Amino acid sequence: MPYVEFLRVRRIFVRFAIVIVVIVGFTLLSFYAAEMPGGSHGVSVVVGEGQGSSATSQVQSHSLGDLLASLSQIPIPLNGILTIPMIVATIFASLIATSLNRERSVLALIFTKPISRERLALRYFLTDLAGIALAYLLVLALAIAVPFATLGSRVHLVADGLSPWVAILGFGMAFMWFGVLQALTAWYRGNGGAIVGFAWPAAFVLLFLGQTDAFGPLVHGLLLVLNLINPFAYVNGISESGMLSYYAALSLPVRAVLMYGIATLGCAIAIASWNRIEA
Amino acid sequence: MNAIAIRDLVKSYGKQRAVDDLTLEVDEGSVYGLLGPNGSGKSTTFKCLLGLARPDAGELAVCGSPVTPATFEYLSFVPERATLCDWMNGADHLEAARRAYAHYDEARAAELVAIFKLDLKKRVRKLSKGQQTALALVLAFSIRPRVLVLDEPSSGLDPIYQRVVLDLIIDAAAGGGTVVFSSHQIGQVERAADRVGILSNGKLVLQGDLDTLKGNRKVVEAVFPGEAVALGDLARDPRIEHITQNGRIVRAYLYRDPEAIVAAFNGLGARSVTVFDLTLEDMFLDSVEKRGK
Repeated sequence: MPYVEFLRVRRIFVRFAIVIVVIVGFTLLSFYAAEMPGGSHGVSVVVGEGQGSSATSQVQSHSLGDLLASLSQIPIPLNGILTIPMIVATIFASLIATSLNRERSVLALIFTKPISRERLALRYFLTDLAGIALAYLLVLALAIAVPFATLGSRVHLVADGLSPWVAILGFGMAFMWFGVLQALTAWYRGNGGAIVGFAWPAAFVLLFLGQTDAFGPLVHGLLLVLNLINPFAYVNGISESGMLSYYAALSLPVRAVLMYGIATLGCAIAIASWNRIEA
Repeated sequence: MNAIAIRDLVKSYGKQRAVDDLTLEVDEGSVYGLLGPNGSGKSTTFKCLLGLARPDAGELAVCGSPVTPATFEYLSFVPERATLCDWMNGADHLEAARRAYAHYDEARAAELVAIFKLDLKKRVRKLSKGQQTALALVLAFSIRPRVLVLDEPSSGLDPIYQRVVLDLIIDAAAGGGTVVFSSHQIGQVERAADRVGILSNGKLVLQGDLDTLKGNRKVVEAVFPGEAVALGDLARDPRIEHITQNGRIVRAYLYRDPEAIVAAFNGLGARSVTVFDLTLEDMFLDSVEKRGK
């Protein structure tokens, strides 16, 4: 029942939001504590090192505030900020990506309602995606608000032509992870959380194994194929600076199409397998 | 018209045949009681009927048509174990039902909640098994369904609420509804059902109108001093339909002349002999035992 999924997503979102707000609160508190008279001055500037000696001489120490006060404008790249909601929304997507699998114990309740299984699953997905979008926007808002709250109006967000794509791919990563996890768990009669828990390290292992040719061209090719459904393989070169691997080397529009396409395909596979499940 | 029609239903799980060539029809406005020991195929039959399990063979229809999502606008199902979201409370479940059904009757739901004295603020996981069953029943009856499929609807309920369930079933049928239910409470089936079916190892071993099945059959039960009872020619007496022996207890099922059989048992040295009208429980045990053998 879509209302059940609404209640579930709302419940998870509220807990998630509390954790995020607490983390931001601690961040702000620690910043202001460092700025208070007698507070710890956290930045040490090393200006010299004794020749032939292991001793390091610390001749001058400034507070972070002193350093920042010397700047009339503090430029902060928006693309960097956008990676924060991307990662956090992906984590949130993991929390709700087993929505079909979670219903395995109540199939007799939800499959005897006047709504088709396909339509029900679609309503679940729309509710889940709305939750992911909300999580993304909440974290984005906080990620932008924190620099202003700590550094004041001198903060200058620097966007470039890539910024809209970074935002699209950022949400796309959460969506793709959601779709892949749905496809992996919807058919499963056990606890889908175990698959999600395994999927995170598996994604990173796949990503890093593929960086090397040590296992020969066959294994490398296999890893390339497996990484096609690994959303992390699409974004590590998102800034297009330096570390380009796998599909991150593709153009941003192609990556976006692939990520959103695979996410949609994952959801379709999940619906098809859920449709065949017996109570 | 048949409210429910099942023809030649076969369903297997691996090599285990859960339902074996089952044919069953339930008239509109009647109450059908399905009996059977655990694992006899009652729940699997209901699941196949409602599309929760895929049959290997057979035809299934509710009110003349195969089950589709639209069927559940007028069909309610209470599964064997009350299937509810344990993290939600009763009020959440009622709200979900209100949103799901076009014909949800809030006043009826409130009335049933009051009858079962349910605390709607409690999470399902904090409710007793009986209270969970009660909540499942409230959800099922609050849409005033035309067809009710109830799998062990009294599971976990105390005798007071078992009587409430009985009344709800009879009331639903009196209002023109059709009820199919399974129960281990044979007395409940006997009170409510117009027709009964007895399942054993996936096969329907007995089916019919309750009064017709009972006829004027009698059971003569004799208790002997020891287990070595020599029945002799009595076992082949044409007046006896069949005879069972469980240790020192011997039961003879017959249509006529119970007095003659009483005399015969006394002649064999029975310690006590009693004559009963055949009950549904006798029929059930008899059918299942015969099938078991």
